Amino acid sequence: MTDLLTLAGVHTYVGRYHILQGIDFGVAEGQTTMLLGRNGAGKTSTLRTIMGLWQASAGQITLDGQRIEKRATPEIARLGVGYVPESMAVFSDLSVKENLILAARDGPLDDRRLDWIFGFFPALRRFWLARAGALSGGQKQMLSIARAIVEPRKLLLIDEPTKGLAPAIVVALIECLGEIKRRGATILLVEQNFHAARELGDKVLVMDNGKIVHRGEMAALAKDVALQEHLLGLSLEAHQ
Amino acid sequence: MTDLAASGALPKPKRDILPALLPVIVSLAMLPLIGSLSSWMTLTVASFAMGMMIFIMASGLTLVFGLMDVLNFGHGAFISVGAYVATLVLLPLATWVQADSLWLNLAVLAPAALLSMAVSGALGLVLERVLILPVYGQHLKQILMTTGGLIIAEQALYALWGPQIIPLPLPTSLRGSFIFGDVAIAKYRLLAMLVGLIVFAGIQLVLNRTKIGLLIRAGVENREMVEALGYRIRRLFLGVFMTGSGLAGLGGVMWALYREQVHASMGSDLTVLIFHRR
Repeated sequence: MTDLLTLAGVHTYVGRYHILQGIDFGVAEGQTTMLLGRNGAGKTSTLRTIMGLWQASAGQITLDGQRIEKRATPEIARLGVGYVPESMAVFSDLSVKENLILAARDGPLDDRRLDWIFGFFPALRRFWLARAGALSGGQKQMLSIARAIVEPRKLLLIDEPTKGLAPAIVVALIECLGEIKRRGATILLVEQNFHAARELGDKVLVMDNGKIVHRGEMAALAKDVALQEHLLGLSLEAHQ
Repeated sequence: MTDLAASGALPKPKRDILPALLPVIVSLAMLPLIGSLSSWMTLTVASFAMGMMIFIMASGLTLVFGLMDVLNFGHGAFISVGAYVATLVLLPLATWVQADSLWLNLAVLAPAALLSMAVSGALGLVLERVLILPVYGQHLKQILMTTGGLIIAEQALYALWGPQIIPLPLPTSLRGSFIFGDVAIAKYRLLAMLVGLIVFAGIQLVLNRTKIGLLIRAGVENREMVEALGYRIRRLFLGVFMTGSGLAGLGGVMWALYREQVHASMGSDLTVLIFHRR
């Protein structure tokens, strides 16, 4: 399977802090690659660097054969990258409908695709004209993900979608992301919830101190308790 | 599929109508103090007209501050430039201005206003690129740079047009008042109110009914996410800045006609008023 996204020797500074210290990895097309690691390991910085929100100071980032490390964020998004930030970043003054209208930049909203999205997230249909700022945290996360998939995208960058959500909503989100994955989406998913990681991940990357310290099959890491404890300080069993 | 819908309905968003009602409330409160209904009517229309002119000038400032977080103390420069540019059309065509025909008056007034808006908008483009681009996100430096820009613009106007006040008479058909019983309503003030309402409706329409308006509102809240959705917010910012500058130019023309004079310091004189309105 070919890599849709590759990072080679990527370094990122934020101010005077050297956050990413030579990252190399690939994200295979049609697969879900999990990006795991402790807080502060550099996971969110990796997504922001790919998205062009922070400029890589060195290294190469290639998306579908095109170098993107020097490109501006809107240009990277227009190459087919959907981004779900950790903060969700829904436009709270706009309605659910208006949030999705903005996300559908290539044309009007597609009714069939909307029905597909509403299948996962019925609340979005129900609160279609409500201000996004009035939604619950879980519903905002639904909207944030819906925004990223309202049009087909080559690559989805999703940052901790289950963070701070109630367990029932986490289960539903995993179900939703699983369905998106079954449709052949390529996803780079940052996640602290190991249950979600095990359910969704094909490949796994583990970061620590701005470096990739492990790469392999998610299934293999899920089975290897000692390795989990070594890499992450916790085992998957501890999260069951 | 798991139903993620919340069980309860969302709280209805509160519509803040107090700002819109405030002028009406204040004007009604003045009625017993003024005593005479006819005087109250005349003064209310006059104050609404003045308010609308200040609104036209300040609306650009509000857009620029709201979307771009730029404190533009040089906004008054666009007002002065707009007024001076209008004299380039209105003074050579003084015979049309003084003709006793509404259509001839409007035929010279409309292109003067459009030219003023275009030149002020273009000046906005230059100021944004030269003065504001290097100081985005730095309020103190923005104040220094834009105040400097205002001083330079004012001195440039003195250099080009001289220090004297330029008389700018109102077109003939906009002079005088409509008389309804004891109530006298100045024609120009009615026009100012009409233009102000059109600008207000236009801004509301663009902000609430177009995708560009959605982008502006979204950009005010989270410009980074707007970019992550694939929109070039820098271009949007520039468009908003130019629109705001153009509106200030229009306000400058209207204010100059209201005062029937143009002078280089009119923009800086109005700066406090428009910041207060913003």
